[in-house]
Order: sequence, then structure tokens, then C-alpha cells
Amino acid sequence: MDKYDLVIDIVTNPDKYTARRLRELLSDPETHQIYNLLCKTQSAVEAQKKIDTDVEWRTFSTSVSKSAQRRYHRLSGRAASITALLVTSLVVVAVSVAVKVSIADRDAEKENLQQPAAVTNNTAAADITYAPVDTVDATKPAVLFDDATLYDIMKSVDEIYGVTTRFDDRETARIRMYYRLDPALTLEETVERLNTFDQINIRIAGKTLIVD
Amino acid sequence: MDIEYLFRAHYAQMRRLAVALLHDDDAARDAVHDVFASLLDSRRPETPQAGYLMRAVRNRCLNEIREKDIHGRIAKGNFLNTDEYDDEEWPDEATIAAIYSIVRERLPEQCRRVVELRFYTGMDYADIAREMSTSLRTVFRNLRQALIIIRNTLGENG
Repeated sequence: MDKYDLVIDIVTNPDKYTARRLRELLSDPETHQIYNLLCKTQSAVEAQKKIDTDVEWRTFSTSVSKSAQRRYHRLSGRAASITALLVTSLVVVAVSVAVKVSIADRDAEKENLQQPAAVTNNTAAADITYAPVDTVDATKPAVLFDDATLYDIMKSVDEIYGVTTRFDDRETARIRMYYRLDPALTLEETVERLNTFDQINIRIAGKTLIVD
Repeated sequence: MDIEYLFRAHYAQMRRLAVALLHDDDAARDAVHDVFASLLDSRRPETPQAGYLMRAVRNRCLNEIREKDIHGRIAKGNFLNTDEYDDEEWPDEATIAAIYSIVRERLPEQCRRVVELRFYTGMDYADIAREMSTSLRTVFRNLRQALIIIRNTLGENG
């Protein structure tokens, strides 16, 4: 059985192998490369699938409305149930209105529609204006945090960028996450990346980072 | 914030990224929907740009992959080490286009059919064998041949 056959056997019969044996077999560089190539080939073919945005929007907006209704139906007691019925119809209307509110800068958004559809890992410029931080250190390696608290991550951010973090919510400081802190990025870029995580909202105020 | 406008402008690209990472249509849909749902709940007044949305969906997908053990990752065609997604900057448009071009233009007919039935249609290998009126062994041989050609062609092109 050559390495191609081995990879095919692994992906078609993974339960034949223990976790340890799989790690051993796939630690071979060539076997690992062939496995990754199979994963990438799958991505490349799947990227061609058609997406009906109209259908997806209807699915999404319906699920948002149902979720809002469920939140109110969970209230206990007959009075709460009666109230929930009245409130639900208002919530559905409110959600419908919320999704139709116009944004101020529609022209800037239209530019994005002109870009070709692509699966890409490239990042765009931040849409939020902050006071610029001039220095980035491209020589320091990235720091990997595995199941670390946001508090610990922000301590490193403070050291790298010469800022001070203030947590307005202690619970947020305790959030655990996996994060790769790259000193080659600017402070604004790092903050923007952290803000993509749920429950994290960081603002830059001069030399202070405020975590809500 | 006009969620519908944002959704229609960016959904397809976000969904393709999620599928390329998770190899699961339902999980990919959920990941993208979760990003938009969190925008509705968000306190941020600013309208997010494409880069923010793509990173948000990428983070969700990588977090989901991280939860899986090695068997779970292999079952879904995920990289074994989530660092590799950053190290290899995967998925990247150029490599995806290159691989798909090889699949469409360089693979023999039977090899191409196996790859497309497996990865586009989502058929399992036994069903592919029935569909192609051939043996499972032949299906695997075609898949093997496809991988060799793709690997060699990518290697030739640098």
C-alpha cells in the first residue's frame, strides 16, 4: 500500500485506526501533504456550488423572527403567556423593521458588490477610524494562546503596543479562547480581529483599550 | 445597519469560505447565519465591512474544527492541526482555482467524475461505484490517480 492508498484508506475507514495510529501515520510529511491535498481538492470542488442568496435570506429572516417569538414564549405563568402573545406580534413587526433600516453609507457598500465572488483569506481595511499607532514589530514571532483568558491575551497586547487595557466587565475578562496574536499587525488591526469574536467589544481611547 | 443589504452583499462569499473550511453545507450555513444574528444583537453602531465579516465566519469555523478530535476532523476533511489554516493561508483563491482547473481540464473522465460525485454531489464511495457501474476498488483507483495528477501538476506549476 503506497502513501496515496494509505490516505484513501484513512479517509474512507478512519475507525480502523486508533487516534494514536492516525497521528503516527499522518506525521509522515508526504502522507500529510497528500491528506491535505485531498482536503484542498474537496474545498476547490465545493467552492463551485451554487448559492441562492434569496432563499438563504428568507431562511435567515424567518429563523430570526421565530427566535424572537421563542424568547417571549418562554415566560412562565398565564399572565406572561397572554402578554407574550401581544408582545410577539410587536416583536415580529420590530424585527421586520430592523432588517429594513437603511444604512448611511450605501455607496461604499455598493463597491463591495462589484468585487468578484471569491473564497479568500485576505483582510480588508478597518472601517472604524482610530488614532493611528505608528509602530509595529515585524521581527517578533506570533504568540499563540490556547484556551487562554482574554485578560491574559490583553496583557500581551498591552506589552506589545504600549497601551493599558481596562475591563468594564469582569466576565468578559474571563472569556477563554484560542487566539494567535501577531505583533506584525497594527494595534487597530489586532483590536479589529479580537472584535470579531462574540461577546468582545474593544474600543481604543488614546493609550487605553476599553473592553465593554 | 441594514442587515438585509449586508446579507445580500456578502452572504455568498462568506458561505463559500465556511464550506471550504467545514465541508458541511448545514454547518456552513449555521456559521454564517450566526455571524449575521450576532450583528443584530451587537451594540456596535458601525457597519462592518467585508473583511470583518469574513474574519468572523472564519473564526467561527476554526473554533468548530478545534472542537473535533482527529477522527472527527478526518471524517470531515479538515486539516489535523488548525494552525495549518493560518500557516497555509487556507483557503486561498489562487490554489482553489488551480486545483479546480486541473480537475476540469487535466483529469481523465472517470477520475473527474469520481471527484465531482464525491465532493460536489456529496455521494459516498459505494454510491459512486453504483452510479458509475463499477467496483469500489476502481473508484478508489480513480481517486488515487486524480490525487497524483493534481499533486504533480501543482508541483510543476510551483
